[in-house]
Amino acid sequence: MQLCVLIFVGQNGSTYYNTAALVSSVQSFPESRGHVVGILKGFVGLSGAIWTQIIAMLKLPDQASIIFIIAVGPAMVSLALIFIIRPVESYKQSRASDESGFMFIYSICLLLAAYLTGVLLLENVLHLDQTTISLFALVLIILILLPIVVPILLVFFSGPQSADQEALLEPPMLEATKSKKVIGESSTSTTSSSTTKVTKHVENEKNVPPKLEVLPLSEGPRDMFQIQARLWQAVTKAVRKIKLKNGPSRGDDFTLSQAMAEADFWVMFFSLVMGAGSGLTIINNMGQICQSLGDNNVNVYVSVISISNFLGRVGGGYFSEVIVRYVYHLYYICYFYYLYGAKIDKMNHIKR
Amino acid sequence: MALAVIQAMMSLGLLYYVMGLVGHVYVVGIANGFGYGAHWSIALAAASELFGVKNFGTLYNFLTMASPAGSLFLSGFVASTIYDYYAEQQAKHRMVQSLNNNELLLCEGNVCFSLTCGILALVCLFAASLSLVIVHRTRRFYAQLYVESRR
Repeated sequence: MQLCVLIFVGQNGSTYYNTAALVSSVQSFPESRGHVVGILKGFVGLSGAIWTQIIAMLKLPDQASIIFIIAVGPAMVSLALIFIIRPVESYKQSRASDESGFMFIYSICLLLAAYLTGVLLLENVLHLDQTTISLFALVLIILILLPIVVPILLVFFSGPQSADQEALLEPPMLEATKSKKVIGESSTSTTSSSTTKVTKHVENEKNVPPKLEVLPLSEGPRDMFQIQARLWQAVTKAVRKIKLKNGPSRGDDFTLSQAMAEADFWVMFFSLVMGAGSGLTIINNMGQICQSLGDNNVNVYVSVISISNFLGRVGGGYFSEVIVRYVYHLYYICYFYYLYGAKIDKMNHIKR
Repeated sequence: MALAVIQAMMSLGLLYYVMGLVGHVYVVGIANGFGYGAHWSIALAAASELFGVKNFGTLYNFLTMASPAGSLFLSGFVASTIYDYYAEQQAKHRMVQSLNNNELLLCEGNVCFSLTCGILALVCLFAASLSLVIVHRTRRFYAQLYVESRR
């Protein structure tokens, strides 16, 4: 009974940590979520092995002190970091330095995993004395602390440079956004006046195109392209505004109840129930599976599973990001050419 | 499209489950651990992209509930029932006429979990098809998202 209460409280605590870290870091790196989530989850997976090593180094007299350290240590860390961490403005544009930083952290992660595997194997095969174990653990701690170098480097060394870059970048971008806004506003007003309170965006789209073709004919085909493109942007913006009144579309901020009204959410949920549930089932039953096959060293299998779990988390984050970037880039190019071809067809039609 | 990766992972895991019927425990362990881990990073990233980051905390924890829910059914009901069934069969087969009925029911051999593995493989296949459905539904949104970020 006591154990149940302990497990309940402990699991709650770990979930709090997870949630806080994940949510804040996803919000501050909106461009590369796959990387962030992968790294964080990977470290969660590794932490068990890391703690084992550290405790082996300390060689505490009894179990109570071990539990005390585990209970108090992380809390102390987070208490100390309260004063340092503060909300950062979320960067809309991903910077080039982000990429290298992520790659560095990835390499550290993989190094750490390989190192842990090696140390565990060594400790199982050979019986090491206390000094070598503590040496291993020291190297481990240094490895854990290495990722901190990334933000420090970013802040102190590339800080002024990047500020210059931002200053260089800002004026044209601001102008661009301003002009877009002006155009958008003017044309949204026209579209909304022409389509009086039409809520379905399909109809909205249908109503506008004739206008598009009437306007630019006097100005030549070149301007026609631009104006068409701008009007198209404006129309999509207007459609989005109309949609916002009806409820959030994909990519907007959902609340839980709004998300539960979406079919996507439930499909994803059940997909997770089946996929992750079966995974968890195998992991839970690993002991019995090994036993039934007549193997008695379950430890090896458990460590194999946990390491591959870590690799899956990190690798999943990395590859999903890669795939999303490249596949959608290709998809976009194809789509663009498709649109382009359609437009040329239309132009030929008009000329005739 | 990120979800297509889940699908790929799961069908990979599934393939190895089926291979695992022959008894490669290492392969099952590696593939399964890999697939299980990959779920979390991919699904959460995808959820944050689809449903926004403002209320991500609640959404995240609701999705986290999925895995214990699935395991509760699959591990607590399916796997244990099959295991017990085979264990009883083997106990009868061994003709345990020896005195104590309270002997632990133990199952030995490949047969104990092969059926479970098969069921899990089917479930994974179904999950993979579900995630393909999501891929299909969100394809246009993702294309739009990454076009906008590139401009």
